[in-house]
Amino acid sequence: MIWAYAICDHPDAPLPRRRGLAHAPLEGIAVNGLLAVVSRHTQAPGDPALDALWTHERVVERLMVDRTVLPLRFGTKLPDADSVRSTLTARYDEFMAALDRVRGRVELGVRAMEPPREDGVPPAAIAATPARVARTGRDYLLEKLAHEQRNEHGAAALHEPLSAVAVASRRGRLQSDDEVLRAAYLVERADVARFRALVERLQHQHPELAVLCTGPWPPYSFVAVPQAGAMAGSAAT
Amino acid sequence: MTDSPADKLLAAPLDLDPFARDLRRLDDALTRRVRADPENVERGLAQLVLTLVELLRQIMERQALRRVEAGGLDQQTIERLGATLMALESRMEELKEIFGLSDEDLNLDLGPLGRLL
Repeated sequence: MIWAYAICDHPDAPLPRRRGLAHAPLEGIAVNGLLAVVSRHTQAPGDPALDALWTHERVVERLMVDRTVLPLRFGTKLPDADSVRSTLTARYDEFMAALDRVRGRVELGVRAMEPPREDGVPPAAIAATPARVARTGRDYLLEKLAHEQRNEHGAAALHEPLSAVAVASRRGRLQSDDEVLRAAYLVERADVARFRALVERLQHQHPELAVLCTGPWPPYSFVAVPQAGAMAGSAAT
Repeated sequence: MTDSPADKLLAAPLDLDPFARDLRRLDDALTRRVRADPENVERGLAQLVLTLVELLRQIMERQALRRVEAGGLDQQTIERLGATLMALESRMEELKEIFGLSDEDLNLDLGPLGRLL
């Protein structure tokens, strides 16, 4: 079984000596200008513990040091080297185009939340509860709507200036009521410091929000490499 | 190169607690196993059913909000929609309490498709 970490260019460049999952050596499978970086295993090594996630991540980041990579999601597995080659061949142009899109760029993640107030009650809960008693259905809907609009307003106040510094951006779905923004930005390496300074400035301008910026990451959100289908047998965490 | 997850923080508020929820969620996703002893079967079933009910409730609510936003609903309809959704929400709260479930329990990780809710 083959565990795939990334697809990259420069197939002739020597692979880093870093080990992959379960201490397996890294191996390259090349098709013309593309290289899939993989490790071979007799049984699935992907028990998704945190340190395994970091092992996968570090391999991808090490590759990023001296080449452009399309990071593959943790858990991308293929049965054998031939299926890796046929995937690279079948989707050669698509992978090449994706490499061009992310060349010289990194992903930065930004999340913003409404922090809980001093008394520990999240603002979303306050907005949602004023008097469960004697509230009309109309009030209920209008409160929900107002909360949603307030959040969207906060999100736009961050997202618009940040996207202006980025080459591309993706907004993710919010996962809780107090979350305001969850987004990934594809940024030129040279602009990372500028982006970070902008996040700090925006945080300063919006003390009502807590803004978290992480990275630089491999461009996970900007490689349209579907995890199922051609990359068969993948299992995400 | 990353040596520890903390290296990845480019800019962060003093209080990281609100964000730490995701870590617990990740931890849950990584370690959660099906516990099929008799006591847990009932709770597991309730969790599954309530997850679906909550999904439908949220879809209905979003739909209702879009319709209110678009205008064109008369006051009576808005009141009826709102009252129904409000009642559903409070009933869900009660059921969650009865079965000892949190909002997080009513979400499913669909892998590459993301979270259900």
